[in-house]
Amino acid sequence: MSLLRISVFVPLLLGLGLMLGATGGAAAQDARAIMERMDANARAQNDSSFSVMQLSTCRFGISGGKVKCVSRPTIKVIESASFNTGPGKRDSKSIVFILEPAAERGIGMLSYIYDSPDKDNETWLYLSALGKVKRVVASSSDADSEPVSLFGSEFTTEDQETGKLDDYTYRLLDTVTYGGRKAHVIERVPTPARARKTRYAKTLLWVDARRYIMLKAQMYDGRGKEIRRVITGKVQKINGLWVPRSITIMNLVTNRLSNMSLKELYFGVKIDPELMTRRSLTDKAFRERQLAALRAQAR
Amino acid sequence: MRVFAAATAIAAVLAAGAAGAQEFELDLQFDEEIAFEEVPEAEPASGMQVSTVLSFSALRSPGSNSDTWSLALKFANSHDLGALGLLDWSASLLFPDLAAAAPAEFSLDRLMLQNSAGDLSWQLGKYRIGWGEIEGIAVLDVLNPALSLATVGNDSAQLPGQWFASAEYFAGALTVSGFVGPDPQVEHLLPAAPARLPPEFGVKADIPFEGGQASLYAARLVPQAGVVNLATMTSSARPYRLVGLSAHRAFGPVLLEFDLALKSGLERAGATGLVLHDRLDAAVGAEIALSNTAQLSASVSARRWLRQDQPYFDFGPGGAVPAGRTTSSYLLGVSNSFPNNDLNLSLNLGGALDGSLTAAVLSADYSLSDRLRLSARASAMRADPAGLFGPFDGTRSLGLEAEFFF
Repeated sequence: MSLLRISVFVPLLLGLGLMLGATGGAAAQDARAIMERMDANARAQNDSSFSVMQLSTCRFGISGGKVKCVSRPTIKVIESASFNTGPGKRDSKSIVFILEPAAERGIGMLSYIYDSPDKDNETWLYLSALGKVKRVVASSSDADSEPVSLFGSEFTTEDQETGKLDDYTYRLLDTVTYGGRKAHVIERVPTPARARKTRYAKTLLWVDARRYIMLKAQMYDGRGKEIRRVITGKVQKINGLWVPRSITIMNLVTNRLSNMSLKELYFGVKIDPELMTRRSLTDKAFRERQLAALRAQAR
Repeated sequence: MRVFAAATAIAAVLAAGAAGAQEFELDLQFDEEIAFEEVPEAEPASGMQVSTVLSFSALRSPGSNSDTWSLALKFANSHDLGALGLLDWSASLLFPDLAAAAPAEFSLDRLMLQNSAGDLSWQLGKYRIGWGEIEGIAVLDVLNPALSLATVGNDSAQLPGQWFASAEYFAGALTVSGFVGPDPQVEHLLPAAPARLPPEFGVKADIPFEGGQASLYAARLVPQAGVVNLATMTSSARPYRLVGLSAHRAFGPVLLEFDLALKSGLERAGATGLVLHDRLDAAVGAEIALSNTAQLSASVSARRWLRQDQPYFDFGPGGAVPAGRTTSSYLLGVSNSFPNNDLNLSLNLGGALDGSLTAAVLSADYSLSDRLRLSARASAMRADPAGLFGPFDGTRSLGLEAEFFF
């Protein structure tokens, strides 16, 4: 079973979807400063989050100028909680439970994501039918170096990273109006060391000049061909933070797209660290009490 | 291997799609609002889960051939009983042979009342308890009804449970658990004596360390399979004692696993009756994440009797055969899932290291939609005709299944 793929779901949300930022001017900023601000905000604003997400994946086609699913999408609904921890709060702990589809309901996964490249990330899955918690290993010890699909969707770990800003060089190409918003267009190119680990030879980012959220990204391969595109939408202010409630990633090679829709999202939730232990995977009563406390805070 | 051939074929289809994709002009104002208005918002399901499974199985063996159509209705639900805790259950109603109009069989597959308070958690009901690191290898994975190669590739929810009362105490990183099994399940090839079995009980301590975990075990258990007394031609299952150790450690994409158990007071068949001996069981295994979607698993296990001072015998479908002091077996598995988890393929190969038994199982699961899942499983077995599993030599089977979730 490929359920291990959900292990990075929450970090994805933190890294890709929630490039949050305080409102304010961006005068005289260069590309690196913009990226640092996005990254810092992503970490600072996602220290404690609780969410319910819907992940839809389908093959897409273009009709009447619109991108649409041409096959019935596969839909998963997921409840998750996460917080940052460790030195400088650069590590994270997250726990995810599937609400839908019914056949996978209750499946849970616990992940510890470490910022240090010297420390392997850790992931545990509870196999209820076997009555045991199982440690699962990914295809790479560095989750950022090898793209891991989320639930078989188009979202991968490579699209979720925060930090590691030194792995890239940045160039501010332009300031444009995109989707009615003033946006900085930034070119991000991996360093030679990073280039050996990534599929993307170049990424163009459209960054909201006031909200510091990513509006759009285009990823290119080594031949200069665009292979993936990310679009965010339904931007709302939640708890004083600008949040894109919808994130869509299109694989232009396979014609598949995935949309992550935040049904509920709460920041600054007080999360008992005990929730982020293996006990939560096996002790359902304990877990439900913990989640009920989070749901109560979310109301 | 066929699994890789299938993967290659699918990859070719995807590549063809990719070529077409490049023809699209995607420099559009993407309107995902419209695109995703067509995706319904899924609501968390509540109430009973119901599915129906239509199955076809064909068995070809030297002694018999059979083709069977069966139908099963499967039910599962969860209930919050307030102060009593949470109750999970699953059951099935099986019509085992549609052609013969065989009577329906009801099975309670799982029933678990679970609750916790403070650092203590407890469960009561019919479920499985996982001991040991390596599934399907009977070193420490000996609490539940025995699994066979026939169950490899099965939906894990279909694995049989057993009646238990168990509890866990969470002391920081350390977890101590214990169980009582009042109704041990034993497979017997011949009539059993005694018919009534004493309860099983055991304790386990999990001690995590960076990148891994070690566990210690002690138990009084009843064997999963009876031992045939050649003097009386009856099957016996008496309690034995177990002390064990297991550990796992992750090294990047590799998970190494280890199980070790000393089993004291095991019954063994001599020429004139049963004797009690001790045995050391050990297994090592590895799980390797080959890619984002592919996994390889491999394990080797061995059993060695600590005494061997007379002729001993094992009793199988073909009768009694001489038993060696040491036996060893292996299990290899490779699995891969394809885009969106719609298709999962797995190939498992297992048997005895001396070549006296080899079995292979190829499984495929395909989700046509969230509601309809198709699966197929083919297996083949080769065995030493003079060995314990000789009657199974040349056995082949095919199983097809369609499950619809209401």
